[in-house]
Amino acid sequence: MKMLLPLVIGVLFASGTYLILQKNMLKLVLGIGLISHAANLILISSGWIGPGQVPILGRDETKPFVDPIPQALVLTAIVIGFAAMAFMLVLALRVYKDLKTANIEEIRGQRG
Amino acid sequence: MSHLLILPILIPLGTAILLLLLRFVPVARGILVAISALAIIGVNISLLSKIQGQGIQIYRIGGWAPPFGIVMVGDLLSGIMLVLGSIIAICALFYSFGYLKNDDQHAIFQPLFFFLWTGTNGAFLTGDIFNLFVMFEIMLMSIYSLLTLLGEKKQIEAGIKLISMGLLSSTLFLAAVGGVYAFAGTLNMADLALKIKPNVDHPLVSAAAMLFLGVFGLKAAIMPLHFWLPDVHSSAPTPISAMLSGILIKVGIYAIIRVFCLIFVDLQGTFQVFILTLACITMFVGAMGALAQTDLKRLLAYSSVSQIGYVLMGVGFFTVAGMGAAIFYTISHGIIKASLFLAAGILKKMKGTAEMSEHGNMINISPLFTLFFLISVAGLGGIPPSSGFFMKFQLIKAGLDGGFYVPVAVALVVSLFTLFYLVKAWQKVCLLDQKEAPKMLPTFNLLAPVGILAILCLALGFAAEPIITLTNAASQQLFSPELYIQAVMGSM
Amino acid sequence: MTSLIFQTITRLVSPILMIFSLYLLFRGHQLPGGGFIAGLMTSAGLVLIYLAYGCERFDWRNRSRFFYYLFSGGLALSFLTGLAGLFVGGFFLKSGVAHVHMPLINEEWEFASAAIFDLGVYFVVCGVCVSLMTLLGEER
Repeated sequence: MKMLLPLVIGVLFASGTYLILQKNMLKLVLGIGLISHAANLILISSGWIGPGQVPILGRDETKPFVDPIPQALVLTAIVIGFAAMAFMLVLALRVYKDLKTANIEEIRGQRG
Repeated sequence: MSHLLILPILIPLGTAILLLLLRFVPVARGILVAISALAIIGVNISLLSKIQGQGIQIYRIGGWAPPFGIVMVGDLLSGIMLVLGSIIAICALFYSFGYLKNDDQHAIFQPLFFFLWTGTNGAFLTGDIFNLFVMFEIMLMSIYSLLTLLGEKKQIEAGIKLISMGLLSSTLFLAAVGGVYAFAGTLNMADLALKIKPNVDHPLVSAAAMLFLGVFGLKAAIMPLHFWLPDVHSSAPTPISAMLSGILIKVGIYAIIRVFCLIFVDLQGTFQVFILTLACITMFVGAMGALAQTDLKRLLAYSSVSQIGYVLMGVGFFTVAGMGAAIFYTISHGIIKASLFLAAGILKKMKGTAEMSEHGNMINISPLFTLFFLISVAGLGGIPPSSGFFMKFQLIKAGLDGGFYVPVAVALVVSLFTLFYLVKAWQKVCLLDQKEAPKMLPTFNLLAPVGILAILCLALGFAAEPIITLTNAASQQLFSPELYIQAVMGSM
Repeated sequence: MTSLIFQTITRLVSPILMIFSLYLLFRGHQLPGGGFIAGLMTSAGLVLIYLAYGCERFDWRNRSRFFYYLFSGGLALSFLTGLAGLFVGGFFLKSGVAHVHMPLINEEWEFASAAIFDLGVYFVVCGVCVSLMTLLGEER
């Protein structure tokens, strides 16, 4: 079980990097999304993960709790990532409508 | 407890929200923009004078005591940066009234601009490393939208670059925060400094410091990470270019100063050679890039890269005089570069392009423009009566006093190149003949901000003494981090 | 995507989603939940309706102004809650809690000013998500 989180982070980072290196704009967006989730998991793992209780008031307070701060931080990071992802999707759509292509190489070729 | 410290964040935030609600009432929006821009600059100046008089100010958000809650901390450096930011922002805002075409654009531009202002002010004031991340994101999100506002193809391409860059850098930022939190169990910068001081040899600490340097270096466009800047700064709408080059890349430098003078104080020696090398390469590469440009805005963008190298060099000396010089350089360069970008925007407005070969004969078309442009060019080139001379002089004197001869030599050579490409650009645009007449003449709305910034650059040169005293005091404060820690942690 | 099965399921599921999202919104102070997650769930319900019935039936385009004011109003609500903290509690974003004895059901209920802040967040998320959906889903 202890290896699960590092493994997931590694897989997310690897597939995110693979997707970023593709030429398709949509894959770039998805790749960045995966990488930002990997970063969120890193942040989660910086707190203490299990075996502890859920950090909610009103539980048995003699037993140890998991550190709630990284979870709050991750919530913030997820919200920010959500907004950035949404903006990027809109931008990708706009590029596709304007230039009729999702290929990053061709978008680069537009420089005047 | 005084609420003055939170006002630089509250006023722009509230204004932005009101502007969103007033979307279909252009007149009310204009009045609101004017009132709150003046209010912000007033608040920032009074905040600076208060910090000068009474020392470091802190504000506990929500009343939670540090290190558990988020604190806002205002020291001299933050105060100076706040005032600089508001001067540039107010000029860019005034300029935007002449620059944008229709009210639809204004309706989107204005609230986003105030969100951007919230982000920069917040980044300068915050005393919490995660809050710094949040403020960076507020800033970046507004910049993404402002950059692609006009929807030109170049802007969209630059937008893709900027967003990929921004998202990847926030990923690294999160990883660095995670590393620091795992090690120290706190996010408050003053508390982090206390927790890290006894364990500075721990590998996680240097790794986190390196990550922070990378993240902030990406925002400040330091050499290997500068690739996004020329495209973004040159294709952005001009008021935003001025904001980007004038203040936004300085936020990265500010964060580097904050992190290395507070949290990782004991790593300064380890990182010094590395930072100085990067600074030299950045100066050189930026100037070389600028020499090759034919588009004025692109030239200025490359010149920003080069000038960031100078600031980073001042930081990299890690001496009181060097840091003071770097802060003075930041102020002076921010004002001059904003003025230059706004001037380039006038050219772009006149003929639809900032390509230098398309322009010429500005000395007859608009002598005032030529004069302002000349003052700014002289400023960035380091010609004596302007502030540019003092910024370079201070920096080089600090370097010689500290015994850093190689960086100083590079800086001197690069400043020759700087003068060369700027004078070349000025001569092409203003003196050389050009048959084709422009579509429009520069209007008051466009010329006034350029003029104000150029005069400010001159004034900063004639009244350099008090400003240099101020920046040296700020640097003195930075090199005694116990003052900062005392102010934050002592108030429990 | 206007299949009968999908439409029938949407008709069943989306009210449940919305009621559950309100439940999440109001328990959010001490228990898992809160404005963001509730807003996402509500807009998930709206997205389902959008997908099942297309954009004609509810005329989403012409209501874009409503959703614009929803999110800017939500932002204003959250901001004003923070300001109220400044004027009443002495600090920006200071939160206050009141325990009120409800007469009929004879229970003690907790009212936190953070709930109003969360309500603002809920409006922002709903407004933004629906605006985004209409923007992305718009035909050509």
